[in-house]
Amino acid sequence: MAAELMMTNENLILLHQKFDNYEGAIKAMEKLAKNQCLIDDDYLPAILTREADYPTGLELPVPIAIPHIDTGVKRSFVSITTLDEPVVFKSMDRSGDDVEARIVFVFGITDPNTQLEILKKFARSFSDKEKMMSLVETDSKKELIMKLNEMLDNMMTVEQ
Amino acid sequence: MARPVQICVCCGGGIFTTSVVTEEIEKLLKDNGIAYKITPQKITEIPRLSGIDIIVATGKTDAKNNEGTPVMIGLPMFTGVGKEEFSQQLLDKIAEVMKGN
Repeated sequence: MAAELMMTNENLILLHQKFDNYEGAIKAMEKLAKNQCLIDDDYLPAILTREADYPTGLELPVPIAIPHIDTGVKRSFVSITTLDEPVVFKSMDRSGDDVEARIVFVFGITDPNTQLEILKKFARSFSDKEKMMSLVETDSKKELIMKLNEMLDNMMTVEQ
Repeated sequence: MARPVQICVCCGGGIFTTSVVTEEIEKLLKDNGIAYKITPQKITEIPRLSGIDIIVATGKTDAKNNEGTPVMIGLPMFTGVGKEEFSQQLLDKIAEVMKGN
């Protein structure tokens, strides 16, 4: 099966944010995807319900959260927010612990089979402390995309 | 010849983590010459899964299987953190459940 690239652009990225809770982060990022017509009205309630039922916080060297959904997604994309103050997500594992996320990666996924290669590369990159910290610290959306794409062997495609 | 081990990989929606973890487990079992059948499922289905040897969940769950099938948390196969330990646990569990088959 052909490996598909995953789309992102600077208008899907927020840097140095603060949110009261994870719902705030997910809602802010929903607006970005909505502005680009990547999702429809089914998306927001679906991703909020999914996060409540099956949380996506990952307690890694740099803690992150990876909310993802296929409902209401018209075109696959990744949207990224870096946080100046950690936002609490619940852990994806059985512990129910809080994860103080420094980066939120939201994935809109249309077909996990064709997007498997890029998803695998993301999964493998998340635990690299040094590289993930450089994403948290950057002041440039362009640089964030460039650094991340290096980590992902250029499997992200940047389209405005 | 031994019958293939039946594994179910479950996550919240049956996407992303399941896809990644399934491929990692396939690689592990191939490398160890173990015949397998892996099917994706949703975590909500865990209690009702039938005829399965091992369930690997990639998300948060306390669900128990009605037939007593062991449920393992396979997140290490997703992040790569603790992957070696999990791989060994999975191989041990397979050896245990396949004994006598």
